[in-house]
Amino acid sequence: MKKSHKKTRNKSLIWRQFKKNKGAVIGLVVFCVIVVIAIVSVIVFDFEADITAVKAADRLLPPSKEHWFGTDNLGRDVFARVCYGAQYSLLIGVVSVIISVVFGSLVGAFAAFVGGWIETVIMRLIELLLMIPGILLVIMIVYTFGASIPNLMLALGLSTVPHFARNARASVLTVRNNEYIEASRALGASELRVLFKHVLPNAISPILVQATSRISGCIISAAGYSFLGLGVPSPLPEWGAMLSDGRPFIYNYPYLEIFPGLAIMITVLAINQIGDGLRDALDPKLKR
Amino acid sequence: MEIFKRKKKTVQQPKAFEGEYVLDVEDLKIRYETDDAVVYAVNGIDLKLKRKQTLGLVGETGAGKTSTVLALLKLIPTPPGVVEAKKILVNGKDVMALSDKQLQQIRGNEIAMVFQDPMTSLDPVYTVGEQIAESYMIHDKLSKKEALEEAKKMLEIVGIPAERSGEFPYQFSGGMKQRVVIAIALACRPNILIADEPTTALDVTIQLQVLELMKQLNEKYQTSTIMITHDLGIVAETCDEVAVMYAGQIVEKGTLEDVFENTKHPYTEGLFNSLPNMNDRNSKLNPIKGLIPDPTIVFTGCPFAERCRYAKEKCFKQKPTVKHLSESHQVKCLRYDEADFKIERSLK
Amino acid sequence: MSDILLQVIDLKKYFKTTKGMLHAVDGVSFNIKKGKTLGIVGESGCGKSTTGRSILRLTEPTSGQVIFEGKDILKLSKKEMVAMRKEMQIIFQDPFSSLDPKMTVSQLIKEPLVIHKIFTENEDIEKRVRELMDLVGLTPRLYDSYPHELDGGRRQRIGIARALAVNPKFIVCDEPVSALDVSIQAQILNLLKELQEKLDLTYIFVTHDLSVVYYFADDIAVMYLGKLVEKAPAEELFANPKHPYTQALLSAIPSVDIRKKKERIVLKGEITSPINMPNHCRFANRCSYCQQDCKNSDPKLVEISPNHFVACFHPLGKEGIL
Repeated sequence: MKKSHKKTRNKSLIWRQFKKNKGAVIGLVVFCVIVVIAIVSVIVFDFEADITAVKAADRLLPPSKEHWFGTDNLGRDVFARVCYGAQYSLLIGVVSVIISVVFGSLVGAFAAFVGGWIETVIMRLIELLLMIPGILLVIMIVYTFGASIPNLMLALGLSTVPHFARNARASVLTVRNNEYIEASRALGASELRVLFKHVLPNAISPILVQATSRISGCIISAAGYSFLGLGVPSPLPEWGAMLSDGRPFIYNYPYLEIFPGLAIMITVLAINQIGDGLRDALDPKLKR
Repeated sequence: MEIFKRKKKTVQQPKAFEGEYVLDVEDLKIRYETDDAVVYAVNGIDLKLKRKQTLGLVGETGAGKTSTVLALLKLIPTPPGVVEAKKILVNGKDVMALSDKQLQQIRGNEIAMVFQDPMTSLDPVYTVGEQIAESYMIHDKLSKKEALEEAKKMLEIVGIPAERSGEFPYQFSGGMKQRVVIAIALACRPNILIADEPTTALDVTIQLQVLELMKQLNEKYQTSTIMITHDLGIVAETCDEVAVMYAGQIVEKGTLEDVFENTKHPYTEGLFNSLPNMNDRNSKLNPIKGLIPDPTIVFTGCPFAERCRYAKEKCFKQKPTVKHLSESHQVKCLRYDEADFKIERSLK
Repeated sequence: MSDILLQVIDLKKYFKTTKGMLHAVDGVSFNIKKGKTLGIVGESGCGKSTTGRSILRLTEPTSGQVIFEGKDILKLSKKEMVAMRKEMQIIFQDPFSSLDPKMTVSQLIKEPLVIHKIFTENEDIEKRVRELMDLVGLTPRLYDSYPHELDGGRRQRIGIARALAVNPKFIVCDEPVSALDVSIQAQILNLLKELQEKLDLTYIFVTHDLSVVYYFADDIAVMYLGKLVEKAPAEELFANPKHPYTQALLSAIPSVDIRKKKERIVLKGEITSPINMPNHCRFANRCSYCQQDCKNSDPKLVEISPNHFVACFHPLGKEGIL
């Protein structure tokens, strides 16, 4: 997030606009806290001892001073697992969006920039990909390559590539019609220079906004697929996987579902707020 | 309390207005308060418009022309806008005191507006006939059929064949669209017409057609007009009176002859001297130095002082007040009557 | 005739549209002498901007020749054309959309220097940028500002600095002042004139504003529906317009002279669509002098007195408007 801010050069203005949106600022703070938790828990907790080790004696304890969120059916501390799980959700969300942004935007921008029959062919292929439901794509990839975090990232990333490609194409088409593009050509700039120096930096804003909201979408999808057993395999404490593990105990031990569920909700909410704030800040029509 | 009493009285005045001034504005101030800054758009102007007269409101971008006329219709969005005035009387009615419903009655019926861009001020999904008919339906309570018949007559008046009333705006060229906009504005025979740069988006030959049309219609319907423009040539063509605006103030006001022949304010001088001299091609343009001031600044002296070539120390310190040169001619300048002050117009 | 810098011969630019061929520029020819200004005037859609852009190959012309210093630039390869851009530049109408909003003033002015690799050292580039800013009257304080922080006049100065950066000989000014306020407009016109004298520039000045072109141009070409209808030195054209369209155009200029009321010629109708043009005189349907032969064939541009060209079967004889 922070990094993408820096790329757009009139960042002080964008930041000023962003700050006006209270929800977005709270979202950003919450998101930062989650990131810190994710990092700290990797350092503090021992994967073997704290996260995966089965302790039969501590089975299904309710929340207490010792176990803030209680323990699950295998005696593992839910608090530690929820904290430790933050990294998976964040990682999956961010990496899969990066995959789709990089592929999607490049393909879309290239198509729009080149134009002609090449554009038509590329966009039709992209639309072909759009016709495959996301879940089918995930099932296909997971069954072919096995259930693992990288495969899930790849699957999630690929399934949103068409959306990014179309968005990137649209925003490049708008930017390309601006007079400063022609001005730059008139100075003798090469096509590559025009694309990288003028078109992409100006087309990036809507892509950035879409990317931010996609992160939360991917986190939810990842949790969903994990819940279905298509994503992160047990015993990794991914939030969706934890929900799945706790499902048999929902009536007597609802906290097994509540805490991971809350974690997903808060993260997604925070990211969506950031996305909204970013959209308002980057939209030139709303400036001033 | 006192203002409140006065308001009540004016609202009760009869609808058919017979007073000398159809518009009477005193000490109008408009500012826009945003999170970042306060923009002072209009800083205390007085404006009177006689019946059947055309007043030209001249000035550059950001002079406050459009804000001024929007305030007359109470169309300034609040917030961020804040409108203050001693009085804004339209046909003797105090606009500031009217309810939304009464305002709707006035807008279109008594005071109508023609906007700059005919491309965006027409609704693309209705035929031009329907758009003109709409004002008849709202204000004259005609049935749709009657209103459409009236609309056709109105189209003929602005020089468009009646059979085109069923066409959509995109089927019309820019000049034709502006005629339609004028037809909409005139449909309810308002006695005040406000035209905000009505020909800026048009070509010269089309501009001439539209201006001629507006002149004819003014005669025919005896409308009073406020013509907002940045083009002194258009003022010379169409207006009886001129008010020159700068930084939210009227710096010079008078009849066309007063302002054009007997220029008194250095800013008016600068506007004239910025125009190419049509009699001598080789004379150099003599533009006003510097830039239009930032509207967030509150001036302690004359707002034009920093760009004025006649400015003395006092101009930066003291606010100029309105000085009357004659019954019609007034100027807001501290040095206008000093011995060594003489306006130089390169162009005649 | 060696002082002719640019020669345009029978330039044509057609656009394909769904309704047929749009004849934006339909056989335009003229010469410009070194250090002079040719003004191209006309109303919207007459092809004046397209002419300017076709000469620079910003839109590829359909046919014709553009001979710049003896070379037909329409025959140049892409690579040769890039080098040629150092000689020929353009100043755009809209200073708001013609500058990349994500670049600072210095980055914008630097761009042409970087593209043409004029300097190798960063210091030299920076020095040149400051030199250019000074030349066009931008205070050094604005070095790191963004265009959206500046007003139209200053933005247009950036556009001028960009065009001048590579020391061109020839500049197309495409309505450079029509988006600006009157007082700022005069400042920019003065600047362009000063630069012309200082740097021996040759201009094509495209505009719809007749009073500006009268002040600015040495020769004026009037365009109507893709064709030149009249071309003459500025004074001659204003004093002695021969084409009925020129006459109407001149009479339509609003004058600030309130004592001398000039006679107005209000044209009937509006410019017809440039698609599927008639093969007779294009102005015939709006012309009050139109006769039978005007509807039979298209008049050619002929020299009726020295340097005064007109495309009309019945050129006006009498005095002009001024």
